[in-house]
Amino acid sequence: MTTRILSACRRAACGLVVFATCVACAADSPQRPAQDGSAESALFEELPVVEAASLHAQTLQEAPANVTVITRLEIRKFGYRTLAEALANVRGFYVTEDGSGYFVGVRGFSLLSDYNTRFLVMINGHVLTDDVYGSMYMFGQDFGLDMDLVERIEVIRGPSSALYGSNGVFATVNLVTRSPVEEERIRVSTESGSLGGEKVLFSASTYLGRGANLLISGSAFRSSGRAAFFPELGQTATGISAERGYHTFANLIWRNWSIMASFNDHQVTVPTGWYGAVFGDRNTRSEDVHNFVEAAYTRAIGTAGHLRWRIYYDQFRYRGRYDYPLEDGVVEDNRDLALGDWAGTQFSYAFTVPRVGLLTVGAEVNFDLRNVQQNYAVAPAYHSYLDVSARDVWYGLFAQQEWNLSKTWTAYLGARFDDSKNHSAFVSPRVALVYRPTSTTAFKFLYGRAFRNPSAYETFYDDGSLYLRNLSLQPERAHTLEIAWERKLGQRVELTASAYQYRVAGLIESVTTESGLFQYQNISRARASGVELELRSRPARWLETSASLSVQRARNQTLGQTLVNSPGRIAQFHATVPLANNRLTLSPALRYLSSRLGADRGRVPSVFIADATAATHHLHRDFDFVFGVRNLLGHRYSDPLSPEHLTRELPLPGRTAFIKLIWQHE
Amino acid sequence: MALLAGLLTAAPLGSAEKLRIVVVTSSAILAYREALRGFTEAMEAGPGELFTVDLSDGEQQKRLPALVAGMKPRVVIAIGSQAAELLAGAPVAVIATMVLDSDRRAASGGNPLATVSLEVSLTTVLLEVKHVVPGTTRVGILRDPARGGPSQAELGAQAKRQGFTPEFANSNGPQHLLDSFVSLSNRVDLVWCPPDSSLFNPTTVQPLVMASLRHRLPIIGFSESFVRAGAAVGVYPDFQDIGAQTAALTQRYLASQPAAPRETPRTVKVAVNQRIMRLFGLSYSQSAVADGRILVIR
Repeated sequence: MTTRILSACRRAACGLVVFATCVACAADSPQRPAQDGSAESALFEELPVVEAASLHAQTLQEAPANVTVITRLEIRKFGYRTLAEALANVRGFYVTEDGSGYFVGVRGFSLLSDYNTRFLVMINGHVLTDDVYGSMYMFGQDFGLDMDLVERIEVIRGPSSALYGSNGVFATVNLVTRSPVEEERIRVSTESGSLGGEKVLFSASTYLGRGANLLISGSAFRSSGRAAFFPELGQTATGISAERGYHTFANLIWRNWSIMASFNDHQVTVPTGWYGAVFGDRNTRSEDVHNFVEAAYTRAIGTAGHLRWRIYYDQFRYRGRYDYPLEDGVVEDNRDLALGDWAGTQFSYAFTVPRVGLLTVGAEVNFDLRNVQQNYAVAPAYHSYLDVSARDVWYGLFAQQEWNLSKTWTAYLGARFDDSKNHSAFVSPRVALVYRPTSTTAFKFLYGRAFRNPSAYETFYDDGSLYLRNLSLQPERAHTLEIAWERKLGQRVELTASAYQYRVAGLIESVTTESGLFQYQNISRARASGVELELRSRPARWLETSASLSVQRARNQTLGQTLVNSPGRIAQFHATVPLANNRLTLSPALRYLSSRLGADRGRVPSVFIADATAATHHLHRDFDFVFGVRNLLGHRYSDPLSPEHLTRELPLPGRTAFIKLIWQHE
Repeated sequence: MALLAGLLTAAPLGSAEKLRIVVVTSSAILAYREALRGFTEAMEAGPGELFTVDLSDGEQQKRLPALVAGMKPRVVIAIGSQAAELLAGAPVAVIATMVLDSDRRAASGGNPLATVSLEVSLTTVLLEVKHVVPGTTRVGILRDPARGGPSQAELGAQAKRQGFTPEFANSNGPQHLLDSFVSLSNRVDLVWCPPDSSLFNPTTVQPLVMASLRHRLPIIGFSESFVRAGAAVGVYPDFQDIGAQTAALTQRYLASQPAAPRETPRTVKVAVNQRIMRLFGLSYSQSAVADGRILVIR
């Protein structure tokens, strides 16, 4: 008995020793959470939420390029009301306005008489370039999609002609809209701001049954504009940028289909002597309409295969009115009219080539149904100066192969062949080499060749009094070389650095001919080089920051001069301070633009702008607000104007403010 | 720490025969806290004193052997596999709860004496799915057969008993997950993904959910988080009730009543992802939502 008791005690003691040893070892090793390796950890892990918007909307995030993404949260935190505001706060980008619209520059390039023809802007992959002006100059309220509907904005720097053809020279911007299944059931917002700005927006999503989900949205806006004194003329103009209009958008998704429709109208007053019109005359105005409908079908083939087909119809209308002074005090009521209708279809198929990588092939064809430009006088007597139709048919074939050379090296080779009835053929190659030595570091070596066909406006517009046509215009051609480095330092810091050089040949610019009229010509060559640095960090739980610096030198090689409207340095700083458990954010933003040359080669002073925004997120179950101050310090500054205007600069507003009230209900 | 100090200075058991129960949690994650809450609430009315040790606290973990030796608890409750593994050699009765792989533990002998498993059987899953998403009859089962658990034959039989036609897709590791998942395309109405952290984790779930949407293959997930991530439906244990279930098992043990060596969750929760359901065109029982039987995640 005693032996058995002793034996039991010895076993217990041994068990205790073993147990204690196990516990001691476990205690001394780094604490591992239950999630690490245990079978049940799967039940407790937080898993990342997948956005439904990624399913139907075409995304460019995986493009082997220098990419910036502006998220919905950032749009809300910084109070971006227009695409121009959002892009003005992207590294290396800057925005100029001339009273009729906004013009975006990147990497030192933003010609004053340009209509942003060297950008591609898309909504869910649908290209918005019109067929008359070949432009994308609508970045303000003239841009048809309200920022409230944007899930994210993908900004891809560099050429994209290898995938998208003409106009993808300096950057491509893709707006991905919120999915109908993500949007709140009903959302109403009103906005009020300085300069008499008002806007009301309504959006709703609904489930129609059988997997069909619909998002609809509509907004109306108006602004009474502002007054500005023009020292060169000694006069004040009022109602500058007075505007009104509406936006509508609808997106129906059903199984593999996504159907989009957008109908918009925008009218703006331009009393600044536009194209020689009477200064201060508020009858001089323009109206832009860009409508489109699109049906897109996507289907997954196997694990990585992806088929996408879309068919679309676009409609563009431009109506301009200019009150020109004639002799004896008579004023001519002159009208510009552009009518563009085109339809097209695009097909792409991506699949994995065994032992190589993803191959994407595709084709698109577009038909001009109407491409009309008219200019005529209504008063004092009707007179037609221009009535030209220049319909075009254009198509493209493209392919891009991704090569997984090794675990750390990936190559992308792509090219696109474009041809059209009105222009010569062009091949746009693109090469990218991506080296990822670790999961936190990437080096990108990028080369691309891009082109821009002259627009119907540049080629055919001839009113005999202001502009001459030029049927011998050739495409612009651009080469871009870029090296980029991306590095993540821990969870809180991201560094990006890049260096680039681009050359543009056959640059199309408006020049004054011997007859005194304007004409678009392949007049010059441009070359630019620059470096960009960006640091994003979260130094504390209560602070997020980003800072960027872009230094560039863009020159007109033909004239041996710096390009007009090209700042040598752009610096930006953004911060967000979350308060009240993330329900309120305060977001200051600073932007610096160094001095630029105006059209007359005179210097436009540097610009330093400070903005501040306060935004709530579910502060109350159904209500939120955004309050913003722009140009907080009230600096007076100007943007340079193109020769089509009477003055060399447009004074821009001082301090302005806005408030937006949002009501949303599930 | 105050609890520990009290324990270490407590009088030896022999003097007062107090019933002591030590509860050891693997960490302080929410699921274990819910189980602990369920256990302590259910044990409130019973005899005995409860003492808790959190293994994520290094100091508490180091003092655990002294605690067990000094207090001589009647039973130790191990919440989570880390606690169960640590206590496998302890010279005291252990009941493990909130664990998977319970069959292996029971087969190896020794501690734990009994287990309340986290495994929700396919039978239970499909029973709930039938009510939540009526009209579905073909189920895909995506698993790694090397991870153990019921055999393919057993799972097939369970599915058929519930009126479903099963299709199996085996994935020997995460690198084959998407191929295996996509192979079920056009063959099934839903795909069941049983808990397996090597196959279904933050890295693999995003592409899996995208594949689910692109190939129109709704997923039956195993946790509320999986449903939030993009599974159409989730059937998963009620952790707080597992704690209460463990308390009932403990009380039976203390009363020397017979107890099954392994129990499965007696209650499960069901969740649906409304946006995913809308994308797939699947409807779910509104009366079940009204009754609170389904959690709708928007």
